[in-house]
Amino acid sequence: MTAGGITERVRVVVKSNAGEIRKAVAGPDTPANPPSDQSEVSGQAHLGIVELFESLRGRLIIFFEVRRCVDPEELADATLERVLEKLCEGAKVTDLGRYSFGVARNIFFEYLRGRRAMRTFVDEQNYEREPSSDDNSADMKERRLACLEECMGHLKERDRTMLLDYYRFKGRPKLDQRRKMAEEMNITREVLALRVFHLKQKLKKCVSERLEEI
Amino acid sequence: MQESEDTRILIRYLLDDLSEGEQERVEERYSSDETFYSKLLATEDELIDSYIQGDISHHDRAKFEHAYLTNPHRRKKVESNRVLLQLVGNMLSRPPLHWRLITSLRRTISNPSVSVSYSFAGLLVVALLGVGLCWMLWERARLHNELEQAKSQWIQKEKHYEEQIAALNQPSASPQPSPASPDKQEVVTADQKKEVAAPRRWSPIVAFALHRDGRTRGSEAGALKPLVIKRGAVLVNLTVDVVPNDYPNYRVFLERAGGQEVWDGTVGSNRSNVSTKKIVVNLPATLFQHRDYILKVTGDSPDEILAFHHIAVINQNLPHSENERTPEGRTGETPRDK
Repeated sequence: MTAGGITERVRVVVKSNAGEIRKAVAGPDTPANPPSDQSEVSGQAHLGIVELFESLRGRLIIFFEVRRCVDPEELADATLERVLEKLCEGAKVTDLGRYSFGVARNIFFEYLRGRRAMRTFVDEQNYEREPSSDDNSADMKERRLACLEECMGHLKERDRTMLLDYYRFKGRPKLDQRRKMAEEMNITREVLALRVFHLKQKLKKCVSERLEEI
Repeated sequence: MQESEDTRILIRYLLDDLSEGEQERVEERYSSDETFYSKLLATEDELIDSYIQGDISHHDRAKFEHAYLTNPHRRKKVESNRVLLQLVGNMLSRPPLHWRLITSLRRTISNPSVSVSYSFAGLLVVALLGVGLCWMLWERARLHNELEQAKSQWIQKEKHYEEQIAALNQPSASPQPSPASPDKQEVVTADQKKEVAAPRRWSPIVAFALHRDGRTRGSEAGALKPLVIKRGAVLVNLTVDVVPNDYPNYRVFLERAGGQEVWDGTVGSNRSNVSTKKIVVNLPATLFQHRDYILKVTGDSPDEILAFHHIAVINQNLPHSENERTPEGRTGETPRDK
């Protein structure tokens, strides 16, 4: 299972059935400008569909997280596989997202009913007694901090400054600071929060890559 | 306002604080609306940050801990944000660069092993600077002294030239003073010799050629014509023929007919041809009185006489007096060449 992306199995299915999937999916999220040449379908043209499914996977993870599923990624992947299966069987979908969430609800109910067999839902009390994972050890934290500092150094100066200014204060001054920043940049506070979020995602991705290298 | 309302709903959705219907509506929206989905992600991120920084209400805090800290996947998100905020906090609390440099320097200096090395290095640098400074001061003083000496020499020379010019500009009625006593040796200083050796253009010069056969310029063969130093002449230029030789320099002697030496010096060879060599001697007019003189030119050895001339001199700068002239010295015969 890949970290933060669709599984290889899903990627293979999408790649080999990109044409059928494109025909089956006609919703607002469907990539525009389908390739005219059929030979391109198995080439780079399927990448748009892959990105679509990756974005869909992220939403499904949140869906299962809110429902307090222990392994939302696995459930999201299961949902995608079932969606792809249906699409390859010929199901016509106008809104892929809505369709996928429908499938996700079914999967959630199935796992609620058969949680003993699936072992994907852990009692909260039992969960708290679980030993802490290696990811939370002091050594790991130090390593992550070091990688993060290195990644911060690779950011552009203005991005680094924006990030530092965003977290400079706490409480009421924090809200004033962020409102002031949004005004200076001529954007809304939500858009500013979104930019900071994407910046942090970039940093987290950089940290993951650095930690894998170590 | 709609955006703030969306944020509130999303926070409640993330904390599982919505009814089933509200929850479905939110999910329906972000399942297909890319913008709303991005807003959901950003709101969750801010919610986590608020919890970490303690900027969350007590009610929401309890719900957050129940919703996030009991789920390993969500707990990873919290931990990831915590590390990032810790780093940001460290960077924000870091002192300005110049303070960090000063602190680093202090730390280095306070380190005993390092401070000793730096002390030695510092002393060495100071010592080198001191040596350099001393040398510069000494060099400056030396150059200053040289400059002062050169200045004083220049002033003396200027004064001397001015005196000479003033002397030349005086009218010729008062002749050049003769030597104080006939018995006294006339001393010609090196400076005077240098000056007569290189006569200035403005010094009146009388020139005579002394040939090997004893003639003077303009005289007929066999006749000894006296050398007349015209009034106002300062320098007497004598061109003397000598026998061919390899000497680069010659000794020249000017004596009175009675044998008393008046002047002697060393002169370089001027011209040479197959049969004769010539030398040029410049003598101040003040050397000469109304008398006969012997001019002798030798090589390295005083016995090797290369030229010998008996010259009778009339110096118009002096008052004419028959008592000055000696009875001998009119023959002026040149000794046979060796």
